[in-house]
Amino acid sequence: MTLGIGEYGVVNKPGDVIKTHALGSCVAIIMLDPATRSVGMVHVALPESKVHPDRAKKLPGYFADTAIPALLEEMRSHGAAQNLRKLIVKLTGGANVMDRNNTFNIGKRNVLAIKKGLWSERMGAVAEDVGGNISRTVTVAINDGKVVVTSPGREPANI
Amino acid sequence: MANINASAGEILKSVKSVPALSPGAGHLLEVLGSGQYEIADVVRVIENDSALTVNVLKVVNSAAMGLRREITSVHQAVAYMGETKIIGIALASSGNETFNADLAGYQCDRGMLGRHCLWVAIAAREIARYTEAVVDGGVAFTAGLLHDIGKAVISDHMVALVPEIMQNADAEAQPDHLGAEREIMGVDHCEVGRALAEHWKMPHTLVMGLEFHHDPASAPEEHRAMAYVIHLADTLAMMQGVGTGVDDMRYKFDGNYEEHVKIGPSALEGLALDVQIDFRATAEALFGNNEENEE
Repeated sequence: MTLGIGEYGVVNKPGDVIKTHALGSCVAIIMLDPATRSVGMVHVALPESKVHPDRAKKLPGYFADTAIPALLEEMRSHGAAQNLRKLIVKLTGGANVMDRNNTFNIGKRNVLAIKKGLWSERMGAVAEDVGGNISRTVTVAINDGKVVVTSPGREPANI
Repeated sequence: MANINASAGEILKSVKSVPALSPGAGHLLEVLGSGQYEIADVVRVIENDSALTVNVLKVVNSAAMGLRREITSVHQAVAYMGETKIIGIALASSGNETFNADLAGYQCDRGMLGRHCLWVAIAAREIARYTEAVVDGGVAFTAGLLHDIGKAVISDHMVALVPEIMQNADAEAQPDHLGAEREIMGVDHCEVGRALAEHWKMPHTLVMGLEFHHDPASAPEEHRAMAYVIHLADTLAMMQGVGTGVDDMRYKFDGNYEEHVKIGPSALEGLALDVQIDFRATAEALFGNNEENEE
C-alpha cells in the first residue's frame, strides 16, 4: 500500500508493505501493533485543521490533529487493543528548507503538533528520524516490522 | 555519457546540442512572455501547429481529465480547461525529452522533473494572484513550468559527483545545493537554465524568473516579483515532497517576499493544499499515474 499526501491506512497480511514517498516537511506517523501484527501509517502535511475544517473532513490524514484519531480508529478496526500504549509509534519526515528566519517551519510544527496529539492520547513515539534538510521516504514490511527510511543519495536507515 | 570532468564552459556549451523547441512551442512562449496576449492568440498558435494540437486534444480527452464530452478543438479545450492548463499541456508535450529526462545526477527518477515543474507552475499561477497584478498568472505558470530546465542539462555532469555532494551536504561544507553545484562544476542549474532558455529563444521575463528563482532579491527590479513567485512556488513544492532528488530542501529560502507577494505564510500553506488537488488531476493526464496511490 502506498500512501499519498494526507492518506492513511493499515496493513496486516504476511508480505504486505506500506510506504509513503518523499515526505519533505510532511511527517509520517507509523503505528505497529505487535499483538495483531498490523502496521498503520499516515502522511501528515500540516499541523492544524482549524483553518480548513471542510478539508479535514474529506482528508483527515492531512492535518496532525485529525490524523491521529483517524489512524487510531483504523488501527482499532484492524483489531488493535484498547490500551493504546501497547502500540509502538515511530515518526519520520518533518524536514525544513534552509530558512534563517523560520518563515516556513512547517516541518518542525508538524512534529510538535503530532507529539502533542500523541500525548493527549497518552501515547509517545519510541523512535524518530525527523528534521534537517532531507526529504525522506519510509517503508514498513509486515514480515520484519522494520521501519526503513530512505533518501536520494543516502544509505537506507532503520528507525 | 557526458564528460564528468567537463568545465563550466563545456557544460554551458553543451546546451547548444539540446534539441530546439518546435516552432509552435517557441511561438507560444513568445506570445506568453509578452504578458499582453489574448486567449485567442494562444488558441491560434496551438491550432497552427498540428503536433501541439494533437497533443493538447489527446491529453484533455484522457480519462484522467474526466470531461463528460469529447473535446474536438483547441478553442473548446481552452474554454473547458482554462488557458494556463492548455499552455502547460502544449509546452510539456513539446519539450517532453527535457521534462521526462531521467536526472541521474539528482538521483531523480524519470518523470519527477516534469511533475515538479508542473507543481511549481500551478502554484506560481495561484501565488501570482497576490502580486497586485504585477505578475500575470499565465506568465507565472509558464515560468514555473520552465524554471528547472537547467537540471536536465547539468544532471549528466553530476552523476559521478553525487557521493561528494552528499558528503559536503552532511558536513555543511557548502551553504546550499546551489553552492555545491558551483563548487564542483563551476556553474549551477540556474545559470545553465538561462543558457538553455536563451538557446530556446525564450522571452526575457521567463528567463529572469528561471535565472533568479533561488536568489530573487538579486533579480532586476522589474522582474523581482516574478522571481519571488517562482521562489515561493518551488519552496512549497519541495516541502510537499514534489522535488527532484538529492537537492530536495537544500536551498536557502528568502522570506523577504511580502513586499512583492502579499500573502502570509499560513495562507501559503493553505494554498499548497489547493495546488496539490489541481496537480493530481493534471499530472495524471500529462504524465500518467505513477504516484502508486492505489492499494
